[in-house]
Amino acid sequence: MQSTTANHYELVIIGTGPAGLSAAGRAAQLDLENGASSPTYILLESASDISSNVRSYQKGKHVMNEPGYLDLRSPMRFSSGSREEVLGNWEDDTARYALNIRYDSEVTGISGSKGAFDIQLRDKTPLGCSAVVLASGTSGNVRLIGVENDRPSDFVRYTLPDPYIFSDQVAVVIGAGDSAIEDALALSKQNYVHIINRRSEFSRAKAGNLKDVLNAINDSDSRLECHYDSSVMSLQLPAAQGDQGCLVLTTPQGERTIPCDLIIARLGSLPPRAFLEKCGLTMSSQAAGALPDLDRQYQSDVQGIYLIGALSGYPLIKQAMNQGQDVVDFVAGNTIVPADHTLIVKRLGGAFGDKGVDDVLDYMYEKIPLLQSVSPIAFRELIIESRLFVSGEWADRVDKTLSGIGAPVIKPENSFLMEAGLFVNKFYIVVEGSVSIQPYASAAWESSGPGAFFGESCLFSGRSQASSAVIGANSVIIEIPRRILIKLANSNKAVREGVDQSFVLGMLQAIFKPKIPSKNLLGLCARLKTQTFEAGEQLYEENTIGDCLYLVRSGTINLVRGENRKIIADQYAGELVGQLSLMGHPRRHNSAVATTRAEALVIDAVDFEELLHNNPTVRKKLEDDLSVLLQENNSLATHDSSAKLMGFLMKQGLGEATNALVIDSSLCVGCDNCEKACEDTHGGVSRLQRALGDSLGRFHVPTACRHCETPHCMKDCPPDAIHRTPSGSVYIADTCIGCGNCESNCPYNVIELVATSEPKAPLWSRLFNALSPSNSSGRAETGSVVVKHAMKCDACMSVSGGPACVRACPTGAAARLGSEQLLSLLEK
Amino acid sequence: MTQLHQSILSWRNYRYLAWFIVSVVASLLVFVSQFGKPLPPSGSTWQGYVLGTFSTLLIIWLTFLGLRKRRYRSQMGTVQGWVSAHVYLGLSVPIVAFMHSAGQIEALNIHTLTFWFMMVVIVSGFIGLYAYLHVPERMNENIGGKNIAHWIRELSSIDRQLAETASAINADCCSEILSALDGTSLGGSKLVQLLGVDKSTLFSVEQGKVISNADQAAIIRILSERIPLARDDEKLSILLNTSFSLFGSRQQMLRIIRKDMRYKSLLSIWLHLHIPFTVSLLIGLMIHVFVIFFYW
Repeated sequence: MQSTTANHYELVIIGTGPAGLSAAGRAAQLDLENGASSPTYILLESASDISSNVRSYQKGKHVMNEPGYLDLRSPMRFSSGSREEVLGNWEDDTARYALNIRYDSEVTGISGSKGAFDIQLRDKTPLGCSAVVLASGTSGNVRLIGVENDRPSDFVRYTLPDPYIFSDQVAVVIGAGDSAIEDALALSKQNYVHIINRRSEFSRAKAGNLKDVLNAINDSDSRLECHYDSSVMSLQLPAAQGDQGCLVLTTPQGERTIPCDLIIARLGSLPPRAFLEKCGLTMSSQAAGALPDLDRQYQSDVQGIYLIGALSGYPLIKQAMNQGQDVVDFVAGNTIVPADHTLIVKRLGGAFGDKGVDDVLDYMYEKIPLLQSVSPIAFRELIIESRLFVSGEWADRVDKTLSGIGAPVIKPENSFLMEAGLFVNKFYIVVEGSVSIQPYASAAWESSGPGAFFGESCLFSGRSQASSAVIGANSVIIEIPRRILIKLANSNKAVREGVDQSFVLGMLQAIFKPKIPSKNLLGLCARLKTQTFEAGEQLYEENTIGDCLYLVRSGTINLVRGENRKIIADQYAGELVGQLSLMGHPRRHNSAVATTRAEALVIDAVDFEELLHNNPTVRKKLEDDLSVLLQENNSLATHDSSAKLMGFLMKQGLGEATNALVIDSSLCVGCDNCEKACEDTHGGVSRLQRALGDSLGRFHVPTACRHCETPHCMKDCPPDAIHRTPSGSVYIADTCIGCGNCESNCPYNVIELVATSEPKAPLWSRLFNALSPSNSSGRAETGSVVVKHAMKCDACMSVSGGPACVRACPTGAAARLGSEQLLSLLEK
Repeated sequence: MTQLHQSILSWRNYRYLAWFIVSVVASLLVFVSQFGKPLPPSGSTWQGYVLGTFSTLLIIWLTFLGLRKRRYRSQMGTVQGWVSAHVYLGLSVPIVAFMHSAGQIEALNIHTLTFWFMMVVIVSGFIGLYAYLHVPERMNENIGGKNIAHWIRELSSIDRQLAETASAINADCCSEILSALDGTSLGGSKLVQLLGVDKSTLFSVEQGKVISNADQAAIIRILSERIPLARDDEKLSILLNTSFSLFGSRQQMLRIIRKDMRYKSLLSIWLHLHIPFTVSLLIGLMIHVFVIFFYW
């Protein structure tokens, strides 16, 4: 090994975040093993303390150790806990390994080549090394406001470790993400806060944060004011210490100046592109968030420079720490298998024979155009989170001793992957062989080969699947869970657009059946814009002239007519709204209002006319559909009280329900047999409260799960414990960690955190147990462990025959229904 | 799709009404077949035995509702289906049993006693059916689509306001108002609830004793008498008027709550006859069968 002089090291690690610390820890371990007399590595930190990014988290913030499936592999300790606990462990371990850290050492550039790099430090100290590990993350490169005077100062801040040191000040928070919201909410407890949102909604926020911030904005007592559709024009620093500065905004109402004491900008961070390019690295694209391309050992196109952590596209702490350990072994030339290797071996299950894991992944990656812009490392994660479905020769090769979670699922040729009418929570991609899809009942089956994907329609619309799919001969298909697809689509534009286009195309085909060939719809598909409507927002007004129609993507739209806004129809995902004025007289005969948050595709009159003109059979089909709708409208319009009742039921969430409990009070004798049945079938805890919940007229909607089309509770479940059965029931699995996210995300308050108790044993066995001393002591032991668990109605998925509450009702007062049955309820 | 919110009578298009008709008509055919025979119709002909066995089996099956209702995981139909069948087949029991007896129910013995036990069960069942069919709707109308907890909260809020108002009025009146609040009685035994008896009282300063304040009438009368006397004292007048109108609302709420209790007891009181007499009926029936076969 080359000797280490005072200013030459084998390895320079830049950044003391989780990735850098872990790498340095591993380097220190290797030094110890090799008996090095002095450290062969140096860890550089631009600040004067370790982990400044984690340090900048709000005090007491809970740090999670995602992803749960991955084991930590690092000399440094890490588990979920408070910010202070996490930092405390790292500080202890830094001392334990006596890490060779040089603080206040900002790196301004790297030159040279493998074996002889020159590290340029701001203080000009000469430093050389053989290899470099860049673990500096992106947080050092926050997105600035982009106006004059936006450099970090006491007045303009980009982090807020402790919001409670400020009081009675006027603060402005710029941004609409979670950290902006969290800062604004925390500051508003002691200060007056303005929050500046560039858009008209907080679309990027977690639902829990969203609810809190909207509540605060709408609460007249709160000291939080939101400026929507506003952007920063300029800012003025305070003239002297203690003075106010000000921020000038462009708002829809014109220019506005806000005098303030403090500005917090939370606009995210970007990879330090200029620095990386200066070091000679090539970025993967022109996009602002683009990262350099890396090989599987995290080495960039400049040999000897390695990137880990957020700079490699991996912002999660545990992954970054594993990368830190692995990269040092890679640099030292040790052959190791990555921490996730065994997981991938299990996923592949031997279906690809003797081929190495990396070769198989490369091979699969090549086959899927949709994922071409996903980094190899992200693709690896996707495979770990997914399952393979295999048939024919691929199935023959699968190691049959592997079983359980994650192993490939063997399917006979032509068996169903997805059935029409059921809810699908997965997304499928064909890697080998084929899949046959029937877009809607009675349509012809179509076969697609490698690269084809399906299953997105149920995920996007929240409605049950319209199409069916069966696996072909000798095929390999990846099944990706909903959460992973959504994460990927949110972070990757190409994936988002690809999946979205397919979804829109599927919807158009379903509407325009008998089908127009896909290629004739592609042009239209590309032109269509999606518009989002908040609950209560109007799509169009009665008596105006219509120049477009809407195809509902998700949510519920009510058609209302007349001065008293009588409801004449409700339209759901996959249905048209406003086609009447394009097919008959252009004047709108009703108004269309979103009753839940809804998304709709706007199809303008010219496009629509052209489509009808070229496809006469489609016109006939649409005319038939329209006349059915008109008859429906008429029957509902004859009921006077319907509008009020419909409004009530919508407010209760029945518009997005697939299976909600509605009690007819004129039949209910209050015997509570429904609750008793629920208790008995669910381990002694009822998941419904009959007497609670709102009523209007005869209808009472008790506090019980609605099994929403797009379940609010599923968002942000850390262990991904909330699932949906094929029949649509949403349930919480035993992997629940009791974090309470779902409880706060549910708008209908039907989720409760309860200490789990043992199921009630039958009377005879309780008597028997009471008499037997050995058993009674065993029970006491298990009963003493109290674990909180989120609980809600699971529609009695484990009991055959359907929900026990309904089957136990002696008078027929309890019924469960989905949104499509609302009309039949009103017609009674 | 099955129809939502169907009544127990019309369940599955009157399926068990059809069963009722079939069992009654079949029993009638068996019964009439005794006429013109040397022996008059009675329980001891083969027809009598058939009808007796049939009614016994019916009665035993009817009691199984109590078990099915508590078997929440049972796959044997829905409880509503069972209730519907219970009602219709229960209705056929007195008819079949009467034909079994061939009208010989004048004597006073264990056999006729069993018959009358059965009649009590049937009649109480009818009361229950009537309550199940009609009370829920009225109950819902009474509480105006809110739940009863809402009205109890409203009531306690009014009580708080009254106690506050009363503390600003002169001692006599204040003590009367507070004693009216204290003396308000809700609930009581099942019978009290069913009859809606109001045992509320207050201490009348004028009469120097506790008097009835049923339906809050006494306190409202007392306040209405005091209001004209307070015309010179504006503050007192306002306080008295406030209390008066609060007691008006309180009266309304108490009526709603009392009515709700009354309805609730109506929904359950029949069971106090239905269940014990079912047990008596089963015992009577056992003795009846035993006696018939061994001592007749």
